[in-house]
Amino acid sequence: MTEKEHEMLAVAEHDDAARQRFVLAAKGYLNRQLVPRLHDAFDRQLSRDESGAVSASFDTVLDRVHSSSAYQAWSSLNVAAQNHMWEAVKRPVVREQQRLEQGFSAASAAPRGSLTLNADIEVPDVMRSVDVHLQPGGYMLDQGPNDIQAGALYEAGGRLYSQGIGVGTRETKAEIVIRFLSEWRPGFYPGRILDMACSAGQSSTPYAAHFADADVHAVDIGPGLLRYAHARAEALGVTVHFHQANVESTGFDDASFDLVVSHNAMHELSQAAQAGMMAECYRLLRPGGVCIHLDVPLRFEHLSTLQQVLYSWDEFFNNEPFWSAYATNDAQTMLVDAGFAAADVFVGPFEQADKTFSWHLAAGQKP
Amino acid sequence: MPVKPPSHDQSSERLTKIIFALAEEVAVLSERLLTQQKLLERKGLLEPGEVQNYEVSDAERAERLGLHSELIERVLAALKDEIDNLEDAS
Repeated sequence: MTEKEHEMLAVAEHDDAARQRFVLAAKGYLNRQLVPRLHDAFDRQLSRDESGAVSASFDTVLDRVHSSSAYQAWSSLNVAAQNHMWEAVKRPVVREQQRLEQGFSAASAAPRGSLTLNADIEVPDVMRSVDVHLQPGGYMLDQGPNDIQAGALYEAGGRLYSQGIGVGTRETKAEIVIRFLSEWRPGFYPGRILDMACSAGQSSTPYAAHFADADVHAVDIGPGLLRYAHARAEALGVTVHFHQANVESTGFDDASFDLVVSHNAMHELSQAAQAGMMAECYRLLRPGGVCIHLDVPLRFEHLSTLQQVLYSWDEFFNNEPFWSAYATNDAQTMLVDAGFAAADVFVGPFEQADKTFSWHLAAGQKP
Repeated sequence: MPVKPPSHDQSSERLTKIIFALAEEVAVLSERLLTQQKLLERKGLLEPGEVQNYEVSDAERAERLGLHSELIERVLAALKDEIDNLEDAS
């Protein structure tokens, strides 16, 4: 199922839509046409040992790739495409800022769910200093008490990006986690659910819609993300309670949730913070409770050195500071160290229903 | 953790930004023209060759110069931003 339409989405006018289509086409060309060509060109140039394997180290291959003017031109264009993607989704949001802020105010007046902001939470320095994936203002953008821009940009950018790569357009991330849960632990029906690092809340609302009796909570560090997520959930007529909190110390009681989930959160966290999130999940879960973390299928152990270098573009140029920290993480050990029994842990790929894409999942059930 | 590579050549970087912005403007313009052409054809208001042979009035010429000025400003935004953010030499 595709993501639902709602009143908190800014409407793209004729030229906005044309700009969005252009950047999608440009990103598609740069990444699906040119990256394989760059790969093959560098692959031919790299020295090999007797077995035919590339013998150069990561740093040597990185130097070789980054000193190529063709790679630099490609990289500059890819950065330009990413920046223009954000500008193309930002125009309608800025044009409709007043209507969207009124939408937030109206939603807050008589809400089904709730919004609890807490400016005193601990926020990693990098989240204040870096605009992750070049999103203007980053996750912490906060321009006033009704500002929803961070969330509006995040959802609009995500929708456009998903269209471009055809991921999430048929089955959303939350739907994939719910399907995994039904296959891994059949009959499991959670009464209290927490979505960690929920951003604009696109993956929080499907839980409230699917598990109709469940009490659904969601946390994130960004106030602009949370205001938008709250207004978005209200616009969809779905009850979710949003809280400003760090995933490593959410402030909820011990053993107070049946299901804790996250979607693309691991790759936005340092390895220490990923482990901290797993430990917090264990603390929050009731006996028999389940945590499931879904993320992109980026595993350096399955990639050649050259592929690792090419995939590192996001870390160096797209402001994804923890890209390689995620790609080399050991979620199995993190979950076991958090307290989960090895036999009750699943870490591995899980395919989208249409078999076009495989996600990386890290899950555990508390004894 | 690998070390962040040195910045790419600044002149090329600037040129790339300008060219990408220009390409986007061309793409938007093409779509707008296509939309209008389809509308006019659907309404039976446009015959083949009419656009090619159209004569521009003085008022229209001024309007078009204004449009070009706005286009140039958007295309050269990268350079303008760089200049605006130049460190004060003094």
